Amino acid sequence: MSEVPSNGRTALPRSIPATAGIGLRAVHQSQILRDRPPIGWLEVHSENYFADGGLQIDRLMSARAIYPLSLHGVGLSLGSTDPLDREHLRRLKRLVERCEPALVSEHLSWGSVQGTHFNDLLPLPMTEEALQHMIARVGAVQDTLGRRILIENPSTYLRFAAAELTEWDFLGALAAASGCGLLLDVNNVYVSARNHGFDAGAYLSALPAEAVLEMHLAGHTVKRIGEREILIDTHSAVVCDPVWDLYRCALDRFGPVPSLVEWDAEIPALEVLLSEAAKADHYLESLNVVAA
Amino acid sequence: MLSLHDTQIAFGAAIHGEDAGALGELIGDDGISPERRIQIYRNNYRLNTLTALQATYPVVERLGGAEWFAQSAAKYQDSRPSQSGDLQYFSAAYPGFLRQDLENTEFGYFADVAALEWAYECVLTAADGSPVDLTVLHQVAPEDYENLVFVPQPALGLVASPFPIFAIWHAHQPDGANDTALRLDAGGSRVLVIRRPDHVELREITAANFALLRQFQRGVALGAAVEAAAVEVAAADGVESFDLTTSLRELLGLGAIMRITSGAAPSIL
Repeated sequence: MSEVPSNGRTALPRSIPATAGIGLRAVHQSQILRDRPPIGWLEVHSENYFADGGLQIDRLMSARAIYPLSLHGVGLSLGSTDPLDREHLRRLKRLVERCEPALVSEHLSWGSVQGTHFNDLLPLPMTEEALQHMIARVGAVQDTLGRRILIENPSTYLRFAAAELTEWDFLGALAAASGCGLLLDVNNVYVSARNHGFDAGAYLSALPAEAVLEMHLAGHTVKRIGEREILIDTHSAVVCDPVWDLYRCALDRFGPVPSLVEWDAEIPALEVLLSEAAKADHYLESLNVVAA
Repeated sequence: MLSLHDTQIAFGAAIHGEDAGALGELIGDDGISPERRIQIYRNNYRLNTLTALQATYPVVERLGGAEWFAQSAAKYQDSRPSQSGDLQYFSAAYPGFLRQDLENTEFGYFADVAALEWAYECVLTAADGSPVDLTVLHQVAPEDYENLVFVPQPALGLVASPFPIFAIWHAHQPDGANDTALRLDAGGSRVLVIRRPDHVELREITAANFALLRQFQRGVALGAAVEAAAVEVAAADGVESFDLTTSLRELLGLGAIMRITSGAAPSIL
């Protein structure tokens, strides 16, 4: 499409270029379909399109005809010891077959126990048992979908004292054993590093570079608890400067990869998201200039 | 260290407000107590489900006010916790919950408004269909009409209420009149909710059309459907006459029927 510049990089049909994308939210749908702004690619929450048919699916397919697409799941509850929800997975598979996304991702988290869902990305204990569980579950999903998925690091607000692995070693081992890729959420690394006092740079250095196939950027909020601060991953603000700095470190480490600006609450005008995406594109292009 | 399964049970219990002690031992206190950390996840649990309900039931929220709605959502969540990773399912039982929770109060009609909003949501996401090809009727002998099964569109819902829920719904849309002078005793509504190519349409329909369409939704063949619908109309209204030809013409004109099949064989005519 001539309306969608490739920023000098060539994208194969349906593949996602190493440019900035934005999360497609319902409030921006009509504007994007009408104006076709220059966005590298779009990502949607998979569950928002689990419908049997209808207007949302039609609009997604219209967007899909213009922009490369990524599906990002939030409800598969991969880390739960509850049985894998086969109906949820069936709907995901149907959606994947419908829109043939370039990327499919989920989270390193759990969300249900004994049949009750918390509809949240809850933290896993970083144990060998949890690792083996995640390896099996990611493998089952990849087998069902017939494709590689990406797993995203979460923001966490607590850690289990008896951890046997660091989160970065857990993710590296998961990728190696299951063959999954990694979706590096730079904001989540920053949030968790601040909340738990680890070195975000060390986190990036330890991840297997070849496995990182997508990055996320988002805003967070700061909550005071007594004398302490805790960062909450709210996706309700612009990306802060320290996260941009960390993003540039990540680009140095992993090279140019598709980078998404996420915004899920208090969603602003589309122009604000495009401005954030332009900033990410600027850093991606700077990297290419340096590499050249 | 507890097993992964037992850790998740302890975590779930803590989110539900039970003693966070078991989980606290697994977390430790590093200056922020386990209770405060768990509270962040409790807040998310409430907020995520509240947001889902707000998206599906904006009219009920406008009727009851934001504060009441948040309390109602929390009570609903406590009585019927989410059973799916897809939050759309969570909203399904809210009309039934309201019916019980507001029974014998002046706000009982909220349940019927919620039922209308849930029908809207279901129609929005139902499978695609297409209007029926009426030329198929030419292949049917008149004496076989009573065995025909009229299959409604999948993206179609029916909601009836003794309250004027159609007017209430319209008045409380973002561009609606927000008419607080609406009278609850202004008469009931029978509402057809149907998907069009680019929107969902709500339309009040007659008691006859409503009854007949509901019989069709149950898969009842034309002859028996007409009998049942006529009885229902007579009992409910007492005034409105039942004219099959008119009803069928109107329902077909509304695009409510997807296909017509023979009752004897399921094949499409």
